[in-house]
Amino acid sequence: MKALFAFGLLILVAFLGSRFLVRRKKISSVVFIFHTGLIYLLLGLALGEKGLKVIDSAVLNQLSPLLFLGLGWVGFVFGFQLEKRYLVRFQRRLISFSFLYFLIFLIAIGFLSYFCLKPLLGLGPNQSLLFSLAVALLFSLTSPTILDVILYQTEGKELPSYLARFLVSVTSFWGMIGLGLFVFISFSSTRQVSLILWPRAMIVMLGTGIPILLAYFFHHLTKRKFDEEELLLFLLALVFLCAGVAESLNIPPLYPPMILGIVYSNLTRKQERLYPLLLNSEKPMFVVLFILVGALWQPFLSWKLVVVICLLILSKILILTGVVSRLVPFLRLSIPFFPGFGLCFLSSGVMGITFTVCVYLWWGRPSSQVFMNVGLLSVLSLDFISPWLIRWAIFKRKKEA
Amino acid sequence: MIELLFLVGTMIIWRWGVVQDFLGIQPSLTFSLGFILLFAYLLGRKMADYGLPQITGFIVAGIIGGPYLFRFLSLADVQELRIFDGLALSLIALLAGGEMQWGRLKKQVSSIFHLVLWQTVIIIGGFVLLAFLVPLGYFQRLVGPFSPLPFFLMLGTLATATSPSTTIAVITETRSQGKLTDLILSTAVVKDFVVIILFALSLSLVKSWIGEEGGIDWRVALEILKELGGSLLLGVIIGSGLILYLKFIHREVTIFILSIAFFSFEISYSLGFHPLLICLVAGFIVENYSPYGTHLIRTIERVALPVLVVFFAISGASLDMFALAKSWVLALVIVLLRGGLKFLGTWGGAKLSGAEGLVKQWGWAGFISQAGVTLGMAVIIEREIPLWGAQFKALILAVIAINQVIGPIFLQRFLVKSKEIGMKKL
Repeated sequence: MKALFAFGLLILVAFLGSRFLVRRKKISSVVFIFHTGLIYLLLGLALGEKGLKVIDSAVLNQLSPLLFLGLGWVGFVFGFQLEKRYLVRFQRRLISFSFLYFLIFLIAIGFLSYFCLKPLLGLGPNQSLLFSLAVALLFSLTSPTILDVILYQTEGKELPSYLARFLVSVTSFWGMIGLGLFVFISFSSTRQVSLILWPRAMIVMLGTGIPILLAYFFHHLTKRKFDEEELLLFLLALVFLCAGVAESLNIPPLYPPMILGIVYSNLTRKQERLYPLLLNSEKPMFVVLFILVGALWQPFLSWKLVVVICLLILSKILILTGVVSRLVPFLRLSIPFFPGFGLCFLSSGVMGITFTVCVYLWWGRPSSQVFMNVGLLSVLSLDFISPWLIRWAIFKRKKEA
Repeated sequence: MIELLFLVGTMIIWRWGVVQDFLGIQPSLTFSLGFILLFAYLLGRKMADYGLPQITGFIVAGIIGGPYLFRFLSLADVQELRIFDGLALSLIALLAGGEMQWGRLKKQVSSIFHLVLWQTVIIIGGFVLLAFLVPLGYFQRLVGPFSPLPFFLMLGTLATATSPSTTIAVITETRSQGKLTDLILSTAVVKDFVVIILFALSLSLVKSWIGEEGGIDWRVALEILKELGGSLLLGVIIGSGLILYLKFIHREVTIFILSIAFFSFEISYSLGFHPLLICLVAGFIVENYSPYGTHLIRTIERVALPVLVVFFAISGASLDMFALAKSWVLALVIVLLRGGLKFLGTWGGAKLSGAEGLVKQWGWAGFISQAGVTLGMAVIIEREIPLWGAQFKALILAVIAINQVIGPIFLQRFLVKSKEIGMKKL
């Protein structure tokens, strides 16, 4: 009967989310949670160990390939957008902007979390260092979903939409590379790999080399005639393989599929055929991923945790509105970047969730559960307040104008 | 071929080369799943180039990569991946139900009835007769020190079964549509149910003969009726739900159908109903009582390929090659005998119902494949009849291994002869 209940809930949410709320033109914070699919995270939470126990640890264990597939899919889609032909259309200064943006977050949030977390969460110095690095990387990530909604609402009048979307998409790249380096410099407690450099170098080499090899293989497969079903199968199989490489080597499952995406998008000329497929498959994939992540999550709340999260969110808002807008004159960028524009970078959505889960799965130490809580609660809170803050910024801008 | 060699080479290097031996890193379940998905599909495509069904390629890929040959998938991996069985079976049945048009089907009721009846009578009768013909000493030397009649009765019951899922998959793959395709599919589905009922009765009879339990337990029949009625009712409810969803909501249909597929399997499992029948009826309701049948089929077909590939590759990997190696001669004899009796039963049924000449000559070829239901029954026999259940199961596993590989090939031959391949237009 548990399945019946779960099914009823899923259908109800799908119905409510798709039928009534998304059709409304004015998108509120609550509706936005439905729009981005984050509601499925809460649904997963309700179905998980802490809720109705429909998806217990045994079921989660069996469904782990789907979890890895979902994470890998996000990595692939992200990497696939980084096509050289597309990137060179933009000024190099924009890339510098995204890199400086990333550095600001790494330093500011990194320091803040290091000094906050030690006393507040009672972590040791080494743990604190790793923890704050992971939090800083997480807070540097951005998701374009919120921006798409805002652009739809304002019909692109308030923001240079093309540039804004590019910047928001590209900025996460540094966070992903940071994740790769983070894994390389630290080590996980779940795998007893020697700390000597070369076995770890070998793991990074395999984690990068196999996806490159698979990208060439994928390119070879898609050179001949193929239909949509076949393409979906190839894509699923290769993302499974890359996410499987990550799982086997115990590196984050975002990384190898991202490499696959980058290499393949720069090899193939069939992007036009792949994009519609990625768009069509995105929603079911994210629904499954979010439900599983929700079921995996074991939330707990304490005043210390709330303080940490509030501090981090506040810092992100301050950095975005106060510091990031200063980069525009500094880099002599020719974009109309008013301070409120920085709030477009507030939401980290799917990227934030997948990053958090990747670190959680890879870390395997007690503090990873704390990280999962800090990460997911921050991502949810940021996504909840983003539409409200951005609308406020746009309203203020209009008033000034 | 290069692609296949590349994949196998990669896996060999990982499994027996530097990665596993040197770094001590085993390929994870996710990696194995990706490998088997791609390997099975590419092998299936290669087989299709030689005029063989892709499904045979998927199954053979499972056998090659499975725990008995190259061991790219371990037994534990195969067990873990069985979670996709429910999803695949439900999608297959929804597809099959969606293909069944009552207008076409009602003209064939007499043929379906005669085919099911005569196949059942002749196959079970043939095996029972064999129990009297085979010298006792020879049987006991070959199988074990037991009475041959109960053994052959159970063998005959199981030999009657055909795998509806394989039948549906071959029909879907070849895009076949027409009178004969409907006849084969409907007969396979109806027979599946008849075999389950007969199995319950035969098992009770055999148990009473060999003294495991006294008398025939008629409650079994009641249970089966409950299962049948419950499955039909649930199928109607789900089908109506699907129509309402497609009519009034019509958003995120893929997610909805995948949820339905998982749900149907879960609910049938917890209530003891028949998952295949539930989804078959649901698909049938959508096709015949709404204008959304084509939309339903298109949506399923868009996502079904990877699920079907994994499903058949995993069924291939589950085929016990050790059992086949041990008793392949006896298994082959049973396969040949079953094929012969299938021919006689189909020929008789087709003649009496006045079906087309092609059904008389070649209809048997559509009923060779055997899979899940037969395997499930063999497992029950092993548990319920400790005296010879284990030997019986080993023999049946070997028979299934052969039939599951050759079954799709024969079915495709029949469909080619019927000229109904590629007739489905969406």
